[in-house]
Amino acid sequence: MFSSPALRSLCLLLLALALATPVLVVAGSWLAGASPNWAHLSSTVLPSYLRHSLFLAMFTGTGTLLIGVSAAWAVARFRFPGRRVLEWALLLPLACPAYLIAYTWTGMLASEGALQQALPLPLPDIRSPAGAGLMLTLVLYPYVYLMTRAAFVSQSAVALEVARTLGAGPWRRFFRVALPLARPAIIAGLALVLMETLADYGTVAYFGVPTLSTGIYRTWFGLGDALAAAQLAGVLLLAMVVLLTLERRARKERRISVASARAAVPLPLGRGPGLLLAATLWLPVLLGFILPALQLLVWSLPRWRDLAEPGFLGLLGTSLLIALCTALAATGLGLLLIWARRLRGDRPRRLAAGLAGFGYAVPGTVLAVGVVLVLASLDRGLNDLLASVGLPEPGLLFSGTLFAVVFACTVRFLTIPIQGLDAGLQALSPNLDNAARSLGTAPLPMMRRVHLPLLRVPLATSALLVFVDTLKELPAALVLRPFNTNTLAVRAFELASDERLADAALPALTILLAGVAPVILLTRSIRSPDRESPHADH
Amino acid sequence: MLTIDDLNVRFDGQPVLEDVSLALDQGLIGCLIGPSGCGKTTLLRLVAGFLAPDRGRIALHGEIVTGDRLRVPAEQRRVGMVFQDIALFPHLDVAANIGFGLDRWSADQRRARIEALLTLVGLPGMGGRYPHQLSGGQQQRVALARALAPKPRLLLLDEPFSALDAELREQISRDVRAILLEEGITALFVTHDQNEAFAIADRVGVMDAGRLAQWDTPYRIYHRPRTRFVADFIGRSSFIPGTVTADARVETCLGVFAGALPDGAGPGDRVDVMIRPDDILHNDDSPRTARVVDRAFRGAHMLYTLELDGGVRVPCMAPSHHAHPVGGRIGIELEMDHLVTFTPVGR
Repeated sequence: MFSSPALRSLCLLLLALALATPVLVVAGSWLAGASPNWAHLSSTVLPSYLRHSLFLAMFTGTGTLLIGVSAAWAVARFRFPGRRVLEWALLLPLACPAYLIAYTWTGMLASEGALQQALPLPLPDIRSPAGAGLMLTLVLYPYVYLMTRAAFVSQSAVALEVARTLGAGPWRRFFRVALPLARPAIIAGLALVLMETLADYGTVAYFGVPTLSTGIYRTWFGLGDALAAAQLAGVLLLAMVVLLTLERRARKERRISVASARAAVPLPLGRGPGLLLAATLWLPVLLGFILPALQLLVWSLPRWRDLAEPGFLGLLGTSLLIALCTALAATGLGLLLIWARRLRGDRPRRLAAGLAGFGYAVPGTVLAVGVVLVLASLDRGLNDLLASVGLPEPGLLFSGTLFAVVFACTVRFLTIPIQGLDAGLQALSPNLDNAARSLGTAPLPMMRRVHLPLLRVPLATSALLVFVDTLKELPAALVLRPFNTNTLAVRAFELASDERLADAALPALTILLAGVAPVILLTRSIRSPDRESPHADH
Repeated sequence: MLTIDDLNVRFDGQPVLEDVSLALDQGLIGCLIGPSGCGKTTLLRLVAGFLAPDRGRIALHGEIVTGDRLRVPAEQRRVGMVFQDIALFPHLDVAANIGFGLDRWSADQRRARIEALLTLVGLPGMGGRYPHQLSGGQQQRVALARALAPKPRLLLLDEPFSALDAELREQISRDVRAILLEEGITALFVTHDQNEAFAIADRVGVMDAGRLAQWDTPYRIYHRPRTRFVADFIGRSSFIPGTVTADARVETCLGVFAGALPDGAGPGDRVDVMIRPDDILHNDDSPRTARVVDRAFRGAHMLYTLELDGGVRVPCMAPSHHAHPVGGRIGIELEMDHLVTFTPVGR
């Protein structure tokens, strides 16, 4: 029987497919056969792209593991001065996009910079592959820290106590019990770090490190070969799929191994070791957030009048408009897809939600390639159609406007509301829906009277996260923005690339401050990790 | 009032309900009971309209709500439901929860109905509280009031008391019966607790692996179980072997009894006779004795497990001041009002 819910399922699937077209186009670019330039690329620059991407992944992976896991262990297991503050302060570098601290550190280490003036010996050149890895490590370790800390905190004390009764010392307990138990969480965090590392465009472009990500950009705008760029993007996409699979599997494993037993109590440390530990743990926060933020503030202060300048206000307005539209679009679409799946969990609707959530695995440069390809052909088709019926051509309605940036960011960040609202809805008993229906409430009024009021917090959180991520997004905005239109991120990057470091400070500081908002949200969620829902007390 | 005809449901090819039919008259309270996984909650969800059957019909007051082509949506059935997990709307206070289904009533009528229901369920003046400020028992009362508020044609209750502790459960189930009778509402509920079923229901249905084994009064379910499963599931019972005599009575090691025989059983056939603990009376003067193999102190009663001379074990409930040691022999006599026989297993 051709019922209307089945028809609606089909429409939802088509919507999800439309959102996935940029990714599908990139993945499908290999179907057209290798680009004529491919042989040239693979004999010249491709090995260097791959080598640098691999080097960065290994450098950043090792660095974030060292910092993230040891910080998580210290904070979860020991009591020392300032532990409560460090618990959330360790997350602060998450507020910094890597390209911002890259250029801030370049300024600080420059020969005329404050640091070099104060130090007698010459500082190493930061504009190197290792320097880029260091920058990425400094802002990405919080992913590992966040996940691993949660795992350590939720580990039951019993496992560690059993190991103790069996004669295991502290090191053995860490390596043989705590670490293996936290492995799924560590892998999940590491996968996120590697995805961000491979996706990074700003840092490596600024430092002149040739990676797959910058290679895509150069192939397109330097070589002018869209097909080769798309195929290069396909290679990057493949790596992302592997990492995403790794992360999903680790997450599934983690769900099984979460223990609800009594958590271990942190051990108090002596005064000396405690202070030493605290000082060590402040180091990544200092390097990854406090020093760059201070430097940006110092650069910005003499220019505070620029705040009222039309130039800055224009940047701010454009950025806020894009971020607001993206936040609304992504949250609205996420709500639609997740809510429709709750009403009726048939295969098309489950597939639609899964497909639409894939965007976050796609680097901004890859996505930009896909979006241009899709929207440009859409514009061409529309113009041809209108011209054929004798109407005026609208020009580049999709690819030449802010729509392109909003569309790309929506696809990229749609997973945030999808995951947030999914978790929010799953926390609500299906019998709430059944109760509302048996009391005579149809689906749409049920959404208004039951679901929306109960989803206020995840809705607001998702919208805020998408808003801030869009504000920080560099490569998609760089490629897709219309002529003569700039965002804060693009302008900061352009000024920094022109060595006008101080001029870039005001937009950079604005992005940094916006980035602190989701970190505050995160700290609230880690403050009371085992807080129960207030309604689950019967 | 509620008529169910020949319902069949399969999940992933596995039959969950097979050929279920029953009828419940206006104003009566029916109860479905059975082990977990027997399909009782599925049956309730079909009546509510949350699920569609593969085959069969459900009618309310003669109006078909689930049929071959027809499926009235749950929100248009006027069938109220109380859920196992209570499922009060956490963002609404008690009054707004109870008034949820009254959005088409005038404000005055709605207020009056909410007040009346709060009084009915024994929570007057609590309309401003939020669900998390109430105890489990109070939440369950609000859930009942919420389901009753729009005056549904039929009320469904899915293990409504399982979240409550035993003491509260008895009190509330008595209260609920009184409230349902006062509202004059037809109700169907699901439980796995037979005491609860007997305390509330006018009709009890015992479900066995997707089939309705028996749909009857509580008295007949206990004393006249139609299948061996019902006899086993309801109350404690054991079976002693017997032989059908020439005059269609049954001869056992405890005497000869008259009563209904299994279909097709004739003289000379072997049958199993159901024995309830209260069928065997302890009498020290009786010439017939049995050996005590186990005993369990139950306060007012002692539940003995006795071994008859043929090696068959039967339960026996005796006043607890008759304390006989394990291994000793006690005098017994059989007092059976109804003879219940089954064809022996494996034949």
